[in-house]
Amino acid sequence: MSEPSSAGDAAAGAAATTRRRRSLVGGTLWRVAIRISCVVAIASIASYLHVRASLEGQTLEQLKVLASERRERESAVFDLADERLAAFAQAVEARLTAPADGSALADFERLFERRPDGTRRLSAGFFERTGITGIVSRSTIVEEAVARRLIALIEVLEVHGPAWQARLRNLFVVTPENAILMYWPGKPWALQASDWELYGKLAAALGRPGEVVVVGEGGGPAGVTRWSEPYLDYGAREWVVSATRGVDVDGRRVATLGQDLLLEELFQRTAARAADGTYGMIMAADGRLIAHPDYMLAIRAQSRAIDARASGDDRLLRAVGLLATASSGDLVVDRAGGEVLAFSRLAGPGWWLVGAFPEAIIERRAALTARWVLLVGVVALLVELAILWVVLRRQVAAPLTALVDATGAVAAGRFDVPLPVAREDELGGLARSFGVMAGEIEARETALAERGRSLAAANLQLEGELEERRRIQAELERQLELRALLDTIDYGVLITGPDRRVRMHNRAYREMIGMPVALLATSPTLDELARYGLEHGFLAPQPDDGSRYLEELGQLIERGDGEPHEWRLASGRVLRRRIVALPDGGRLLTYVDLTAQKRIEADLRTAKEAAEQASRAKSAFLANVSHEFRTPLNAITGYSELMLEEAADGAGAKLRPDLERVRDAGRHLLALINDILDLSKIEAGRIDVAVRPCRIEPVLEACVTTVGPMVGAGVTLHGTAAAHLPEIAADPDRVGQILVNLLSNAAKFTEAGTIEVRTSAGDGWVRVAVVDTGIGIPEELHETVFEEFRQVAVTGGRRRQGTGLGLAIARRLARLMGGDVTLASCPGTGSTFTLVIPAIDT
Amino acid sequence: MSRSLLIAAILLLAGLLAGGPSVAEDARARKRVLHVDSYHRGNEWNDRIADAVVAGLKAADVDVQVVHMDTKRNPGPEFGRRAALEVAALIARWRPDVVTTSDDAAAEFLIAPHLKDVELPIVFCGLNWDASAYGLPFTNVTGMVEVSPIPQIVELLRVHAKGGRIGYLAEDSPTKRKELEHHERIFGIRYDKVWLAADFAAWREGFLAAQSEVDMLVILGVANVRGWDDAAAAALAERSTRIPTGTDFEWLMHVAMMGVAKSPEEQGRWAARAALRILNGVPPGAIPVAYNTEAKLYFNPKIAARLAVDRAPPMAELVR
Repeated sequence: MSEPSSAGDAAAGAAATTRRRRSLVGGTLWRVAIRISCVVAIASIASYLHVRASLEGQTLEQLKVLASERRERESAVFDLADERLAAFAQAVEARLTAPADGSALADFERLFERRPDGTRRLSAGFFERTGITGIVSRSTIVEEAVARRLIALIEVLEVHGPAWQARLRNLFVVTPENAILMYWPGKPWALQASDWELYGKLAAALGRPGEVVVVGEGGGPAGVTRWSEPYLDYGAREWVVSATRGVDVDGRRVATLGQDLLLEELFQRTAARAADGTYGMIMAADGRLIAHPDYMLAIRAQSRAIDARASGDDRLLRAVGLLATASSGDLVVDRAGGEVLAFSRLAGPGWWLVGAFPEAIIERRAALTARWVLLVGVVALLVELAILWVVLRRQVAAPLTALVDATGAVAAGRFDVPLPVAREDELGGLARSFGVMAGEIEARETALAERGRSLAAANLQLEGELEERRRIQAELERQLELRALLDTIDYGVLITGPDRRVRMHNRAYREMIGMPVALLATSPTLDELARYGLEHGFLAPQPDDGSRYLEELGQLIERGDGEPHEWRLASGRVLRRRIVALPDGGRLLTYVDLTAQKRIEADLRTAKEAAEQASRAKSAFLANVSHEFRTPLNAITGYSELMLEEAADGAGAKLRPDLERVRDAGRHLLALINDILDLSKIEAGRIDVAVRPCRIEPVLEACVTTVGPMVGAGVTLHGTAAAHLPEIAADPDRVGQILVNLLSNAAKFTEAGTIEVRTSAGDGWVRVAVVDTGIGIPEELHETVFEEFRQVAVTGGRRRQGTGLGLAIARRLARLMGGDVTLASCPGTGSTFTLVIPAIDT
Repeated sequence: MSRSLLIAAILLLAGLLAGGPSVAEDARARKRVLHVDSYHRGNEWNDRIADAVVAGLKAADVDVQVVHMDTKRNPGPEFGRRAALEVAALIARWRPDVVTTSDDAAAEFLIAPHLKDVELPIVFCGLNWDASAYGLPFTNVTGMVEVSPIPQIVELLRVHAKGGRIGYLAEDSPTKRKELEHHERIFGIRYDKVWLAADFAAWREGFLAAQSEVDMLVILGVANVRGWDDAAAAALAERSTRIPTGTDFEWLMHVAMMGVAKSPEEQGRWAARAALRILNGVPPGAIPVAYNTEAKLYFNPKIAARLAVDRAPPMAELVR
């Protein structure tokens, strides 16, 4: 019952985790934040659009007001000049039409000095007193009327000049006789300047650029103020515009009045670019540019208004285009140029004041307002979220968390959880309902737990019974399998329990012993089976004392040590029986049928004895025959050598080859017989091997000396024993015989290189290795070379003669001394024959 | 002066002083204007003045003849006087209704000695700075003097100058020496350093010295600089300019960063208009002497680049 409970806890934990992830407060705040953010964003956009539209309207209205105010402000000076000129003209006209008395020529001569250039000019002293300078051209003929008019004009100028000086800089008069009078305090205008400078100004003031001015025509129609183009007045060193007005008396031009207005301040006020991008410009009615913040260098350089169309400035060209149809006070939005243009026509010269207000300013202001709305909205959102978070957390989340914890506790089996039941709101009601529900669940849970415990006990009992049944079933199956297995094997098997009753047996047991199945089916004891065997004569020979037999058998059974015992039956069978004690105290008896094996062993023993007898007879025969052969052969070799000595020279010399063949054949036959004799002796066990402690070094030295002459011309023989070799247990003569055989073989099969004898000791052995650089022996022939009468078919040997018994004898002699001869060789690289002899431990 | 020339002059003056055209001539269908060019055909400035005079008059169906005194190629008062007498003889023969002149030599050698206060109306133009130097104007003379827009040039240079020191580099001639006085008297411009070069080596030396001794340099006429080498001067300016430089002649723009160049056509147009007004009965004395006001802004980007100035003033003509 505990596992379902744990699963329930885990599920509750997972559910709790999920609930924590999806916090009610967090989710609510998130949704509220999203909604309020949308509202703030929409409000910001709406504010931007509204403010932009509002600002655009306000700006246009303000621009209109500003343009109007500016027009009035900037026009004031032109209106003033116009007004002043009109007043001045009235005064001049009145003065010139007034009756005159006395001669004016004397006054003229007093006031005007004649200069070296032929001109007559007002004196410097007069300028200092009145601020008036004047020049009369050298070509002017000054008569009484001219003098009278000039004096009258000077008088009027003296009165009117100072009256307006506060607002306007100068005042001048030009007469048709080419006389100029200038009121300009502080500027000695006509005192020093060349006449071209003075009259050049008239051309600029009275005419248009490039126009030829005629003095008598200057100033246009009487009673109308005429405005010049802006120009650089060299005398004043200022940018000025001149206003002129003609005065006629009796239909004849008697004077042209004029004054200059300085433009620098006007340009600075109107044609400037503000930091926010607004700028202004002044244009003539025909679109020529009089002042512009970006084109002042070009305007000043060219000393006149410039053609805006030559600028290539699209914005300027659009302004010129709009100007053609504009009325003073118009506001025109130039969408392409991104600006609002305010057109105002100034009084006086009729120039257009154009103010440009970039729309980007409106957008910037609208964007600023929108940003403020956005900022306030975000701050309000954050404050609202904070308040909401606190309220939700205290009023909703905390009680709900308590309920959730209570749910988890109930799920975990704890029902004494405190709940906010004191609240009077919905959550309080929910808590109270939850408490009632928890009580009912607790009661139901207790009943269920009791019933569960009963069921668990019954279930446990059933499981035990089932387990026992499965075990018995498995045991039965195992016994059946074991019985089937035992019936397939040829060993007899009998298994008893601790009570020595037969528990199991197999087919082979029944067939070997011949015990009846009916008896075995009764689960007899071993004692009962033994008695049955005695009674029915199973044993051979039948024991005389049955009781003792049974007693000895009982002892074997009790021991159960597994030792084999042969058991002969009357049927002729020979059985090997083992009795093994089993862990449960029972016994396992096994029976192997040795009948056939025993028969074969008997046959082999008989054959062996016959063969050994025959071998001994053969060896004895060979020993005897060899001895008989050696006597005449010694005679043959001896006599053949005597005959060779005698036939060293003379007529017998031609017999030497034959005699040498006879001698060599005899020696070979003798060696063969000696080898056969040795081999026979070895096989017959009659060879004398006198094993004793001895040293290998003198034997080795003698052998090297003996074999030295046999070594070929291109071969080097080394044979030095290693230091500190132990003594060996061997027959030194036989060791010498073995080594001579190995060395002579090496000499035979080594055409060039070295033959080396290496000695070593270790692990109770002394090793003598004969290493040559001869033709070598293939691996598959390594054992063949040690067989009798076997010469390996190799090529390249220097001398092939031999009996084929040498290595066989060497190995047998070595083995007789407890050692051995081994071979390591590879064709083409040489061979190593190693004699191993037991060492004597020191 | 040779005897023949002297006789011709006497005859001419006698004819001029005796009065205007005869009755028969008054009946001429077309008015005549003789334009006297102080220099030769091929002098660009005067050619453009003459062309403007001729164009303005021919448009009004006036018979125009142009005569050259060639005093630029033949400096010296003797040649000037001889050339003036030849022109005077031509006037006596051809009997123009108005004579227009360009540049100083005509005023000095023709108007002042031969045409002062006669009935023949004279309109001069291209007269540098001061007509009074030759006693002008007379009762029968009006005209347009030629003024360099020096204040405008200096104003342009001040934009890029690192200080207020102004230098003056021009040919070593009386005209340019006198122009210095005009600059100071009329415009109030005082030069901190003045280099007047007789030859090209001196001009080069002055140009290089100006780069370190003043903050801006006004470069004026070089017609009388011996061995003047346009290409070498341009190369020097493009290589060595370190201060803003300005000039009043279009053809000196290859050595200056900025220029405010006078217009010869303005002079010619004005002279033609004045002649027409006189032909229509306006006495010359009623026409005040005028001075030029037209100018054109130039910018040399190669030299400007030496001062790291990469933006030409709006509406400036770039010099390639």
